Amino acid sequence: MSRDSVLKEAWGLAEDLLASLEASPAAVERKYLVIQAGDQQIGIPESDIRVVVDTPAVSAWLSGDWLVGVFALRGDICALTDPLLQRTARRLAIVLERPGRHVAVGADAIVGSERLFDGDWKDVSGAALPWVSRMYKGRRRAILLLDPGHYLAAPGLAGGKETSP
Amino acid sequence: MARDEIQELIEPFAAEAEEAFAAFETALLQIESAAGGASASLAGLRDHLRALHTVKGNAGMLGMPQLAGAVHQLEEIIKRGLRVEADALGGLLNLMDEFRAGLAAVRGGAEDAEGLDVWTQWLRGLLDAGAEVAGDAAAFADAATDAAVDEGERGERARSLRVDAETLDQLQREVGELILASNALRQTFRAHAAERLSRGERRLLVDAFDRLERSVRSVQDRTTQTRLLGLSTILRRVPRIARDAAARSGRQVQVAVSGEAVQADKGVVESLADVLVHLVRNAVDHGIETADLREALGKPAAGQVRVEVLGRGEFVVIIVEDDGGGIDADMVRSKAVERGFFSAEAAAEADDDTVLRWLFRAGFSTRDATTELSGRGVGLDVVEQTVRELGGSVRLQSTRGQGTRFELMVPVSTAVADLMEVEVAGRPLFVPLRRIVATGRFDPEALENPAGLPHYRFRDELVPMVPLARRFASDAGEGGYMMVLERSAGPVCVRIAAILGKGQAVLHPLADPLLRRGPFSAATVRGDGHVGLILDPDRLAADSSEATA
Repeated sequence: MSRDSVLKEAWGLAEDLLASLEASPAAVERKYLVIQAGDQQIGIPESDIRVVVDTPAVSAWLSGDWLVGVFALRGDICALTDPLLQRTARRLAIVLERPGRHVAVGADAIVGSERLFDGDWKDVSGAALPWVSRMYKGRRRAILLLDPGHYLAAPGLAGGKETSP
Repeated sequence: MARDEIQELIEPFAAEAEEAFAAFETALLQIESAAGGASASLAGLRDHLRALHTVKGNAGMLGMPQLAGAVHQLEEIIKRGLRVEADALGGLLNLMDEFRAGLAAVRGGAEDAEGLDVWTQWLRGLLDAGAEVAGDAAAFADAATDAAVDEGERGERARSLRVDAETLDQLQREVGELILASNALRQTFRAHAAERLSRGERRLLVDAFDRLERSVRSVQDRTTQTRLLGLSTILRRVPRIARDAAARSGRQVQVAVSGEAVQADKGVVESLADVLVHLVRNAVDHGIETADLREALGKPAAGQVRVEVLGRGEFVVIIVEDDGGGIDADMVRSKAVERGFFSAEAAAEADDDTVLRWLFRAGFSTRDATTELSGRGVGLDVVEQTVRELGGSVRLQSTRGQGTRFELMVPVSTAVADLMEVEVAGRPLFVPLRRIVATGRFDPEALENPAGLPHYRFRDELVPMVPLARRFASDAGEGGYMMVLERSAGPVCVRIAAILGKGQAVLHPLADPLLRRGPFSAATVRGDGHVGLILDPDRLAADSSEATA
């Protein structure tokens, strides 16, 4: 990486930090794992993550369903989901910590671990992805908040009714 | 002792105390039943002194003076072999409930079983009232009893070890991983290494694999054995449940329980506990008639409820039977129509067996108002769902005026099953062998379409067909073989491309969101690490109007 690109990256991060400080009221700060899926950055509260693994052998699931497939993780059978709803098996599986549910979110890469204030997240409406209701907007990037409760209750991802994307 | 040290000891203590109270309660119920409403001697409860003494000692050590005090007073009463009135017997049964509630509170973090001081006073009053003391009371001098109790306890503890349930669950999962790794090793050897080795080297490796597999199977068998629990753990609750239900509904009931020694996997036994409670309460509340009515019908005043458990190979059969009024199929018909479940025509056409199965539908009840007893908690729909999730089945028979019989059949263990591996839409799928009625080549001439719905003529019956391949891939063609599967709503036929083999496999339960969105109830992990989904015929589309062959 050249000196200029490093400086550019550092400047971008500093801008993001400034933006978050300006936007955040004195609120609760949480740690998020920011992942890359396609061209989207997605933040998942670290407290909701059980483990991150290289996606193991995935077996196909039914057609017409948003689930990408299933895989075995230490005896548990996990459903693999694609946050972009493209039914793509991505390189990494972020296994969520949800009682009674074994679900993983696919990711292409880990961007990093970041601390963000609750107030940094802004409500959004009419997002293309049905599970997105909040977003962080820095000057150079946007992070979609993946709240596991919202995510698993979104049409198509919630159990019961099968819906095509 | 530090609080965190105490906390570690709470669960084993509570489990042991619960067992002691449950056994005591069973004995108490026998005494009450034999007394038939008259006074009774408590001398017959002396066999339980050792267990009570242990509970008292441990409660004291863990800093629970209220629990220890109440148990101490109970011990005193038993030692003296008092004769007590019927209402005191009822009081002692209520005390068992208080003990259980106290243990639940302690498990939840309370420091002691609060509220037991009142009961200690009550027990003291019982002791002070004196009543009659059995003649051999002197043989139960405190010192002698305590010494014997302590000695016996030491001997018993040396022979057994209490293991945390979570540890057993973890052990079972690890054994599953071990089987998986062992299968993967052999598969990799066959695919990549076998041809590169000399004959002698291959033999050595094959022998090593065989030894490894034998050992793994042996560990698996022993792990399965370790998880077996006697059905007695839930059956001993039955007399008390029936007694309380009878008391509240004004019935007279005699209960017969058998098969306590039959064993099943811990998970199976735990799942059956609520099912059994519901069926027994149902039998008393809805089945058994009032004493007056029974006598007018020429029956004994007390109704009979029989709970029998039988071990049948890999299955356990649980029968809950009563000699009450039976189920009025016509009333079920009229309620089904009234509540909009079926049209009047469909209800009139359905035979009685079909009508009885409607009782398992969610939200169906023939009672206008739920009763205090069986109208709460699980319904018959949940009973069936629980049994189905265990891989079992429920049969209901009822004869008007003569009684009702539920027969539940569940596997001893849900950890391992015999499966057939088949190919559907180019991918492997597993089917439990016990659900397969028949397999064979698909005969296009056996395909019929009554009312536009595809059915397969099998043994002179038209069996509805469900298109399985298209659920995996919308453009997949159906296979050249057919398979008839058993399910609660009657047989169903699916087409498969090939039969790949059969064998025993470790089952992994499915959790949400998988469980509610496909025709699968469990999965297994194949040698190559892929998940093999296990088809549950009951989850196949029941409505064959969705089917196209």
